[in-house]
This record gives sequence, C-alpha cells and structure tokens, in this order.
Amino acid sequence: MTELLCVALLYLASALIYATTRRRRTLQPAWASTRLSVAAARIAALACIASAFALWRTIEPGPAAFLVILTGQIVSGTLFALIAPVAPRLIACATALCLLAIPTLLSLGAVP
Amino acid sequence: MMIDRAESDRAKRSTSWKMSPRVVSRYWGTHAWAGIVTSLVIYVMFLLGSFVLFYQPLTVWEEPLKQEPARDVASWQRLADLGEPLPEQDIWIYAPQHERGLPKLGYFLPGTTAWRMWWLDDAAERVIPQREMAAAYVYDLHYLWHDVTGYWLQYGAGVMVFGFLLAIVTGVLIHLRKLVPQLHQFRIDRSRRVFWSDIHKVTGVFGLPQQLIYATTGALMALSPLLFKLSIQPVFGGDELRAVHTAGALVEEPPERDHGARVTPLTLDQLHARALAAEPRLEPEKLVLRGYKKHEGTVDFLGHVRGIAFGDGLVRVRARDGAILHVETPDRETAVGAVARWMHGLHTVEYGGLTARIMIFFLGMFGCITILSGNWVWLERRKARAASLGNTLLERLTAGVGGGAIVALGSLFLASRFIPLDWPSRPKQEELGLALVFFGCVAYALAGRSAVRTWWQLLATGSLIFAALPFAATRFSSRGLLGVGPRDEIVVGVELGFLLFAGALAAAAAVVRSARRQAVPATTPDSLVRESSAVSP
Repeated sequence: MTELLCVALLYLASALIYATTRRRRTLQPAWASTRLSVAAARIAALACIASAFALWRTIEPGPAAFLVILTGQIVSGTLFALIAPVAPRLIACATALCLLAIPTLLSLGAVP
Repeated sequence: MMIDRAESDRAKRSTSWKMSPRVVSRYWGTHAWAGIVTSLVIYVMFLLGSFVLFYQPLTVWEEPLKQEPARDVASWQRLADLGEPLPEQDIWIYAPQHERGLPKLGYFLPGTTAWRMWWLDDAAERVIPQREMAAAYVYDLHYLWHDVTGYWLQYGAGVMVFGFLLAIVTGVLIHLRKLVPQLHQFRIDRSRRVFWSDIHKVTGVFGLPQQLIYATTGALMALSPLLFKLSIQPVFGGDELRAVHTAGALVEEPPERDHGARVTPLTLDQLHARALAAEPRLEPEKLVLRGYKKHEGTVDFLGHVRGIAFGDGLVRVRARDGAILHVETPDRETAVGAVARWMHGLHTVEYGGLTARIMIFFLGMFGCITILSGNWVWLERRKARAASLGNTLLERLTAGVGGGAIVALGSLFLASRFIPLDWPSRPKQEELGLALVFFGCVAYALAGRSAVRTWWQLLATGSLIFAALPFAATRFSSRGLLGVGPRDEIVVGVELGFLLFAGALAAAAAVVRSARRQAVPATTPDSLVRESSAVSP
C-alpha cells in the first residue's frame, strides 16, 4: 500500500506540473491561469515528490528511494506528455481517481 | 538540400551561443548516423531487457517445478553427488530461489560454450534436465549471447551500445538549450514528421537518465570479460589472481587455469561451514566449484550479504583444506569491486521491488519508442527527396524488426506451452521457432508494399499471441488465471502482465491502422521548410 501511495503522489505531482506548464495553454485547466495558483500548484507538486521520497525511505535506504522516485517521476511525466494531448479526458479521470486514492490509502494505513 | 539548410539554420540559431555551425552540423550527422546504425539492434536489446526485468517470475510461469514450494538445502554435498559423474571444469550449484522449486546444477559442456543445467530432486533422488529455456533465451539474447556465437556477438553488442551512447550524447548537445521544453511538446495536429519528432524528443529527454544508466552499465557489463582479459598483462603484470581479486563482481568467469594434481577435497558442507565462519552475514545462493577435486581447486560461496544495499558477497575457500582465500563483501571490496557492484545493482534493478520493475518496464518501452521514432524521423525527413533503396530498406526493416521482435517473443512463450515437456529436443525447438518467426516477420516486412501496414499487422499479431498465452498455459499448469487448481500469485501476475501487454499492442495497432486510413498529409519539401521554423531543434 505504501508503494501504491508513492505512485499516486508522483502521478499527482506530474499532473500539477503539466497543468501549470505554459506551453500547453490549450490543455490548461482554468484554475492554472494566475501566477499565484501556478506557484501554489508547483509547491504542492514538490511536496508530493518529497512526501513520496520520505515514504519510500521507510521501505528502502536513501539511494534506492531516490532511484525509485526518479523513475516514477520520469514514467508519470512521459505518460502525461504523450497521453494528455491525445486523450485529455482519460488523463483527467486518472487524476481524479488519484485524488480519491490518496486519502483512501492514507486512511487504510499506507503510512507505516 | 532545402531540408538540410533549414536544419542547419535552426541548429545555428539554437546553439550558436556555444558551438560553431560546423560543429553543430557534425553533431547532427553523428547523432543521426549513430542512431540509424545501432537502432535496430539496440531496440531488440531494450525490448528483451524490459522482459528480463521479470526473469524470475517468467521462470516460475514456464516451469511447473518452480511453482512448488522449495525445501531447504540440507546438504550441498548431496546435491553435488546427485549430479555425478561431473566433468572436470567449473560447476555451478544453485539453491532454490525465492523459496520455490528445486536446486539446480549447471556447467558448460566440455570444450564448448554450450551451457546446460539440471534440476536436482534430492528427495526422489533424480536429476531432471532443464527442459524449459524460454526465459533463459530472452535473458541471453538481451545481450546477444548465444551458445553458437559465444562471446564475439556479446562484445559486438557492447560496442553497439557505445554507438547508442554516442547518439544520446550528441542528441543532448544538439538540444541542450531547449531541453526542458521538449519534456512536454507533443503536437498531434501537425504533420507526421513533427509527430514522430515530438515523440522522439519527449521519450528521449524524459528517459535520458535511465537510458544513460542502462547504456553505460550495459556496455561495461557486456565488455567486461574482454576488458578483464586485456588488462591482465599491462595492468597486473600477468598476475591473474590479483586481477580477479581487483575486478570483484565485474568478472563472473575468470580465465581457465591449471588446478594441479587430483586430491581428496573436504566435503562441500565442511567448506560451507568454513565460509560462514569467515562471513556470517552471507546467505549462500550459489556455489561455483573450480577444479574441486584438484590440488589448487576452490569453491566460491556467493549470495546476498544481510543489511547492505546491492549487497552481494563472495567467500572463496580452497577445496583441499578449507583455507579462506578471499572474502569479498561491500565493506571489504576494492574500488573496482564497488563500481562493479553498483553497476550490476543498477542494471539489474536490485532496488524498489516489483513497483520499480514495473516502472522500469515502462521506461524500457519508452526507450523502444525513442529508438524507433528516431528512424521514423530520419525517414520522414528524407521522404521529400527522391526515393532511395537504403531508405526503403530502413523503413521496412524498422517495421519488420520492430514488430517482428514482439511477435517472435510472444511465439517463443506460446511454443513453450505447446511443445511437450518431456521432449528431449524441446529447448532447440523453442529456439528454432523464435528464429523462424523473427526472420519470417523481417522477410514479410521486406516483401510488403507498405511499412505502416506491416506495422499494424505485426502489432495485432503480437497482441493475439500474448492474449492467447494464459489459455495455452493451462496445458502445463493449473495455477494460472484460467487454471482450475489453487492460484499462484506469480503465475497469475505474469499472465495478467501478458494480457495488459496484449491490450497495449492492440491499442497501438488500432492507432497505427486508423492513422494510415486517415491519410495524414505527406510531408513535402515546402511543408518541411514551413514546419522547420515551428519544430524546436
């Protein structure tokens, strides 16, 4: 469950970073139009990555945790970049699911 | 010519702050040619490497013996005795892995590079020749090892990977200034060339850290036996033993040496006890007997060292008297040994468990996309020129090898479920099937009129084959998704993986087919020039 929570956090981080990327205005959600919201979203993304790293540290030592988080971020980032322009609804649904999954996993005791 | 000028102008604009146009132009040429020359071989290595991530689960899926719980190894000597008569060369004995299956014994057939293994059923006192080799073939072919070709093809693979590294480095240098925007620039509403170029850059830039890690560690691992041999005289003054000690895990098989006259050695169990006394944290998983019954014979005890990251260790004892000759653990190793351990640990993903392996499988697939899309960018850029035999050949080979490797891989697993388990030539038949299907697909692509059509047909065929695997698997095991017996989580997991992969292939086939039907406007010289200003270099 801890692993799943880490993956969900990394996916959410990618979603936040992608949503606030200036190049893809056409795919940007309405809330990501102000500087404040963009900055807040990016801080939240960093917090997600840091949380995922801290969580994985409870499973494995630092270097291994770093490699896993790096890999997870690369995979979720690539999926976003490739799938979002083709199937934006699919990616939005997955993000919504992710938002539901994180509190559910937390309540189920995913944090050791 | 217009394309080259546009490319060159763009390159000048992007990197003139650092490099002369001549240098930039050379980088472009090097990137393109290094990519084209190495792409198809590297693609096969990436594809098979992605599956090798699940080597252990695949061996459980393919061999019903490994679906049974393991018994503890009560006596290593008893296992060796079961394998008698043993030849005089190096012998490997493996404990059951992941608490499953039986112990194994293996060696190269005398005077050959042909590797053979046997299961050792000590309870029933029988030896069963290894009868299932599908996962082993995938593992070996990942670095182009084959009994027939021996090391030279493996060394060729290592050199090819250096070519791939050259393509990565030159690609980074060309795009250095605009590396970050490439992370999210995927424009599906432009021409085919922009489409492939964007896919190539997104997957290439995102996958850069992993591709660098895997290419570097892979090249060094493939070439390490050669580098070791070449270094013995100039670096170690011909002292082979010192060279072996320094290299550590970098060298799995040191060169043959004369172990002297025959003697009566200590039993393996006595030697095991000596090894554990020397390093109590070692959990032996594998024994290597080198000249065991000879005066200078040794036994290596290899396994995980408790409590250390990538912590594989080795204790070498002399067979005749149990003297400890060498202890190698992460906290005792040489600098070269530490590099080798990290290299091996990174390349074989000894971290992160199943989650990391699944994520790296995705990265492997993205790597395949980067490589093949690079070929497509090359082809789209040159389509506007007069047709050339070389480009036609490359287009068809890309489709044939790209789709054919997937179909051949699926066929190998499918054949392994249909050839009777007790048929002595079964491993050869599997191998023959793999080769025939692969080269058949390549021939089909070369003979076909449309590479795009070949692509979706091969992807769809691959999808059907992978989807059929859980059904075919019921012939030998009742523990899978569709089996009637108690479920085995590894077997079920592998079959779910096959089905998901089949779904992804079907989706890819559908996308390629619909893209072909929608008749994306062909790229013309004029459109290329127009787009060249829109495409970031």
